[in-house]
Amino acid sequence: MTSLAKSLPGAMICNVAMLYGYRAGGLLGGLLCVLGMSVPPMVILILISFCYSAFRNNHWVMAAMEGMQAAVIPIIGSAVIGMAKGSLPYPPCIVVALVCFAAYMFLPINPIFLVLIGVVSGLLIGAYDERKEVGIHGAS
Amino acid sequence: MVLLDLYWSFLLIGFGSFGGLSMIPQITGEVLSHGWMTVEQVTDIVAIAEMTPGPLGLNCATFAGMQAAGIPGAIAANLGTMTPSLTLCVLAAVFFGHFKNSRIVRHLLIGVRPACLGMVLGVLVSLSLSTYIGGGSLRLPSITIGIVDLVLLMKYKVSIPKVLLFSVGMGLVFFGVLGI
Repeated sequence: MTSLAKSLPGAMICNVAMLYGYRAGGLLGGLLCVLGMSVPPMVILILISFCYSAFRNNHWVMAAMEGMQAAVIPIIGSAVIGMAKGSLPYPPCIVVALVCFAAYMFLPINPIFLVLIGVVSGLLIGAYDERKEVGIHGAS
Repeated sequence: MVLLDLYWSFLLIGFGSFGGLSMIPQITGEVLSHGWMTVEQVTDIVAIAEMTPGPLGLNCATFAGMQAAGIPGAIAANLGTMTPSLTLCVLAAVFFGHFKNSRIVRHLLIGVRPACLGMVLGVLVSLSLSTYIGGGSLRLPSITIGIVDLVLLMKYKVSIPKVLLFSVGMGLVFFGVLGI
C-alpha cells in the first residue's frame, strides 16, 4: 500500500493516511486520517512562522539561521545521491534528468511541464522496454 | 484573490510532485514567481521543515501561506497540497486492485523520477549560489559549515536534526560571536 502511495502525486504521507483510513473506515475514515495527519504540523508551523516573523532580525537568530541555511544544501545533496540510485534504471533516464536539470536552470518554465515531460518519456521508455523483452522472448 | 491563488498554486504543486524532495522545485517556482517568499526564506523553510515533524510539503505550504496571507493563507495552501490525496488517492483506494500493479503507473514513474532528480539538482545549484556566494564573494564560513555537514551526513551517517543543531551552533559561533 505504501508503494502505491509513493507512486501517486501529492504528499506521500497524506496518501498513506488516505489509503489506510479508507480501508479502516471508508471515505470518512480516509478524510479524518488525512486531517489528523495534517493539522498538528500545520499548528506547529503556524506558531513557528509567528516566531520567525518576530525574531528573524534578531542578531542571534540571524546567526543561527545562517548556520542552518548552510546545512540545507548538504542535506538536499545527500538525499539527491540517495534518489539517484533508484531513479536511473535505463540509460535514457539520464538524458531525461539532464534535460530537466538544464531546463529548470536556464528556461523560465513551470516545473509542472517538466514533470509532464517525465511522464511522457517514462511511458515511451516503458513501452520500448516491454517490446524489447517480448522480442527476446519471441527469439528464444 | 490571494487565498484562491495560494490554493491553486499548492494544488499544482501537489499534483505535479511525488512526495518529499520532489516537491521543492515546484514550491520554489510557485512561491518565488508570486513573490510570496524570497530565496533566503525558501532556504529557511526547508531547514525548518526538516527540523519539525510533519511532511515537507505541508510544512512549506503552511509557511508560505502564513507569509502571504496569515492563518487563512496557511489553511488554503494546506488544502491545496492535500487535494491530490483527497481526490486521486480516493480513486486509487476505491479501485485498489486495479491500481496496485498498474503498468501505466509503473512506466510513468520511470520518467518522472529522473525528471524530479534533474529539477532537484537545479534547486541545489541555485540554492548553493544564493547561500554560499553573497554579494559577489564566497562566504567561507557558510561553505565550511556545508562541507563539515556533508561529511557528517555521508561518512558518519549523522541524523538530519543533529546535523541541523550542529550547524545552528556553528552559525552562532561564526556569525554571532565572531561576527564574520
